[in-house]
Amino acid sequence: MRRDLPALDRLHERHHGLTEAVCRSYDEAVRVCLSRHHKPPVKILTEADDVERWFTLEWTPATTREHRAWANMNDAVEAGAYGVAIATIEALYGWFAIARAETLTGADYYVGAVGADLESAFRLEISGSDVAGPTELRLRLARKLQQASAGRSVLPALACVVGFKSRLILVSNLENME
Amino acid sequence: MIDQEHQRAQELAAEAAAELRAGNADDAARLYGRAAQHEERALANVPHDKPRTLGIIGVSLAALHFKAGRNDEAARVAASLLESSDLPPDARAQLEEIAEAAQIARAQSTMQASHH
Repeated sequence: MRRDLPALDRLHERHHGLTEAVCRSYDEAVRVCLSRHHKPPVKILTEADDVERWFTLEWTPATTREHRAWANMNDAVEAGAYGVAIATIEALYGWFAIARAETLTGADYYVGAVGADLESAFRLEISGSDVAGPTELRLRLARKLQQASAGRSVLPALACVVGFKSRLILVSNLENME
Repeated sequence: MIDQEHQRAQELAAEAAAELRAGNADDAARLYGRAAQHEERALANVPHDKPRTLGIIGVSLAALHFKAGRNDEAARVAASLLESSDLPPDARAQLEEIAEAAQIARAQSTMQASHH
């Protein structure tokens, strides 16, 4: 049975932590990142709670103009990872981005079930990579778990690592640490 | 339910980030400043029995002031919130980082001003 990731350009319809403008920006960034390596549609493997699931993502290749607008790959990967991560959390858990909040170096998203507030929401830590393979992506996730165990992370929290070339998304609850 | 002032603050912050990516630092700072005004109202609306929410919105407010170039305001907000014993450890750590960053930025501003 085919499972689809939610349409990235319409996440704002359910995720109140996203405006339409931000949602479409993330969608553009995702299409730019995917266009560098793949043709649509793309099958993506998610690993969460020790369970592997395949999802299909329908997308439209980025235009030349969009590639130019997102010429800074760091910006594209960061924004693209936000969009993919939020869609993945919805697909896996039925949770939504309920709010975004500024930090010194960027912004954090908070996710939860419908009706959740900031007091009970999970902070979503997101990391993206253009070309990293599965091993490097798993190392990134492991580093986030180590940071959490050092007491610097806001718990409860989820970590999501997105690999665009590798078509791999890793999700971990940061409370599940040894 | 998320406070409408906080939502408006985040809309403006997202616009500011887009301006920053486009290289328009002055416009970004102005938008971050406007976002901070809404976030200040959002912080005032948070009930005192929601320490995690106070921490999250408080950090967001201090960060918005810092990104707007309002180092004094960022430091003031951080110092005020750090007085609370109910502040979650993670919010405390983030506010201490912002306070330090604001102090460094103020010192750099002072040095640059004295060289002119």
